Amino acid sequence: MKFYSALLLAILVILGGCSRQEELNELLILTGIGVDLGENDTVKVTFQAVNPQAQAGGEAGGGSASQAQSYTFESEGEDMIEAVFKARNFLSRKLFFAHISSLLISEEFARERGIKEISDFVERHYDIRDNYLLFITKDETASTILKTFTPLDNSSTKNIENLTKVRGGTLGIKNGTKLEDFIRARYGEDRDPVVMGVEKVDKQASSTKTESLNDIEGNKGALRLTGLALFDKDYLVNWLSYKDSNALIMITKKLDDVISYTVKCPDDQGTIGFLLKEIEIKAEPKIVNEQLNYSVQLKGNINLQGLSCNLKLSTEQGVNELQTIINEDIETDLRTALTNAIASQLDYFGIKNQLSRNQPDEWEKVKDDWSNLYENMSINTDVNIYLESPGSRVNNNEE
Amino acid sequence: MRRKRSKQASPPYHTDDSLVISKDVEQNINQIKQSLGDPFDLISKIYSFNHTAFALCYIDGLIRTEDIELNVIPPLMNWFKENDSRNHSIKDFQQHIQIPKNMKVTTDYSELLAALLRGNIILLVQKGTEGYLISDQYWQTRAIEEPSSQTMVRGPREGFVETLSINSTLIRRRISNPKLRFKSFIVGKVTQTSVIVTYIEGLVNEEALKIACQRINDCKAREVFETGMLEEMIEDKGYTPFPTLIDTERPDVVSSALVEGKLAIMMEGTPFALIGPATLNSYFQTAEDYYNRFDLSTFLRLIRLIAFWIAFALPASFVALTTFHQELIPTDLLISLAAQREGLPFPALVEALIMETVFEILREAGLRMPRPIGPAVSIVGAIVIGDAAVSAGLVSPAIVIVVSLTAISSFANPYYSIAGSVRMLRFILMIFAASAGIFGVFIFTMIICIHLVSLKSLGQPYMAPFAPFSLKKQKDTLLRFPLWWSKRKNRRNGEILK
Repeated sequence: MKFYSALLLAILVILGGCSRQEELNELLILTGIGVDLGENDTVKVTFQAVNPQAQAGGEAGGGSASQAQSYTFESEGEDMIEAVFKARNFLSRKLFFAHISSLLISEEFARERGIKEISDFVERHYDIRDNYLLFITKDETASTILKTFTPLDNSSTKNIENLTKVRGGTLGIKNGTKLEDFIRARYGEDRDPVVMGVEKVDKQASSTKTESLNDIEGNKGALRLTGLALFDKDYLVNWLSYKDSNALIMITKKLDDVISYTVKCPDDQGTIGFLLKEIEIKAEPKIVNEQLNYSVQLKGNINLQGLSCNLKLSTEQGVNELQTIINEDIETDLRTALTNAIASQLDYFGIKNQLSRNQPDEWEKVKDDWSNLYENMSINTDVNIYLESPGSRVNNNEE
Repeated sequence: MRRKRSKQASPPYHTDDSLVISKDVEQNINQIKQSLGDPFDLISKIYSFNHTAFALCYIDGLIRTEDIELNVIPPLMNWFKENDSRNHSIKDFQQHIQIPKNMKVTTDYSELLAALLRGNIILLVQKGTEGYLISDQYWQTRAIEEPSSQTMVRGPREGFVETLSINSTLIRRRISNPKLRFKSFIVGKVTQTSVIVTYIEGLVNEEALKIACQRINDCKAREVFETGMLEEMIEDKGYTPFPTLIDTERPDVVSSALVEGKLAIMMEGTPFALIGPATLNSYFQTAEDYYNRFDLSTFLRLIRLIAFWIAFALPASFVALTTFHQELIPTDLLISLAAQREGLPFPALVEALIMETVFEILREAGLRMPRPIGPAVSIVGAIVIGDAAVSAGLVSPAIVIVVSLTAISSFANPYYSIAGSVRMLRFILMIFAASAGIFGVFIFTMIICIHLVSLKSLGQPYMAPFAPFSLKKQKDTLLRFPLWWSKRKNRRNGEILK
């Protein structure tokens, strides 16, 4: 009896098995999804899928090197869900969403339809994770970006994913913006979300064929990160400049360890370029006498990278002068960013949320009058940076 | 023990109990010849005197012939010449005859016969119903060589041989302690094989010793030729794929086990000794662990554990990951694996099973084939497994890597027996993995874990000291603490062996 029950169990295990089994060559491994506005108010979804035969490292697989490393497939539907369903009609392999690295939404779509329906679909889908990057494609359709052959990486999604990982870029954002960040900002913290943007460097050039990779001019297929896209709830309203994006990233503490920064010398004699690092920032909204005050304190060290002003760094006076110039410039940048935010009437710095946490009692009193309060917000900035190293030389050549 | 056995209902291959030693020497010799079927190697000679006579009888090849000529016959001749009378006793022999050998007296004919077959010289005297047994076992044996199944870089090069008396000497030389005990048994109704259980009195686990002795006594086997056969007979009841006694051909391993309070079982005719009670943990320890520095030994033990796990679960994990959990594989790796899978005819499980089977065939062939063919098999094997199968598009290169890594890992275990268990379990695990993915792998691993904690070796828990857990004994489990740290052992030794 014991033997037969054990036998039955073994047979059950073996018979019941392999039901959800999928071999790797039955999967269409997607690396990116693009969402565009189609004709007649439809949604056009572009899937970027890996072509494993062309991407194989080593000699295996039997694919020829001339094959495209990725393929894109487009599918249209009334909404995103329908578009994805329809894609299954003409794809011979199962769509495999788990390895998506980025979700691209065209500027047009984000402005007109909002990204609510997308976020619902991708959040609900059991295969798709939340930790992929979200991008708005500036001036382009998402499918154009997905169809671009990029010179250094296997696919354009891989390319933009790597772009967010390069340290010391002008944007200086750490880990990029992900869909989960968007959803957290939108629904969790009640502030207006920002999303990274991406655009083609050379908008005229077409690089949808592998032959374009034979061209030495890499710029043709290159992609670049833009300033952040600013959202009012689910709709795109504006783009931030690099400086404003930088200030936002610094104040909301999403900063990479090191960012490169340039300021102008007084009297436009030249520029000062430096790496800003070990940044400590303290930004606090406070209600004083029924007035909202936002104070930003920034401390940090800099490594000088370039100097074309007349400053004598070999003297203490010169160093102090340099630090003062940089302090004032950063202060101005922060101020401008905050003033722009106030002008846009959007709270993307999350001041509302921070205030309600720090001073819950006061917040209860003033929350009905928020827009007025925000409009008249006073800004205090205090930047204090320290020249850690002038680089490998002290004075510039002219001194 | 033997007496008891001989009183049982005699099968045809037993000596007739009705036979006794008679007073006539010649009749006795004839009776022995008849009992043994007058073999060509039975040498017997009767020396007659005026009033008395004595006979010597032995089997050629089991004793040292020079001994007889030099040490046995001359003193006997002298003694009988001088004392040509009826009075003689074993005491007289022992006191007056300078035979530098053990001498025993018996009146039991079957014992006499058994002793003859075990390499004793039988001395029979006219008008006496006793037989004298002069112990002089000596036979051709293999020289002591380095053990081939358990090699090491540092440590003694001696290994056991097929002769029990040499093996026991090898242990005596390592433990010169009066408390070292050798307990003899005879096992096998037909083969009558000598088996000894050795232990150190005071240190040994009494319960395990009792169980071992009892099971050897109760062993009803007709024949035993190797300790593996004995192991199967005396193991705890119930099926297990795991070995529950450690086999070794290294005297230093046995000695250190004895000092740890274990016992060893050795047998005539095989260089492999059994050590018990065994724990799963002991299969990951080598004698060399104690000869090397403790930090290196700890590292090596962890490596062995990792290798064990790879040998057990790597092919199954590969199958599970690539067919059920593709989202767990890093994207770039997944793409490269997917590229290898393009156009392959078989599912991943079948691929893995084919390659594992091919490897097992090669391994078996490598063991069994005549030595001169060796290189041919390895060349063909390397080409078939490594290259041709991939180039022909039968299997993916990844599975070749997985199978070879698994194969190499299974050789990293110091004990061949447990590597064999893992070899079998690996196939079952692969089927579980192909049925239910990592979930299946965990189900089977859990079944194995439950089985392991319920397992006992000579009545002692197999998973000790993890289950039941003992913090003190963790000093010498996965980690090996420095020897100067292990005060417990020294103190215990000191108390008992003072």
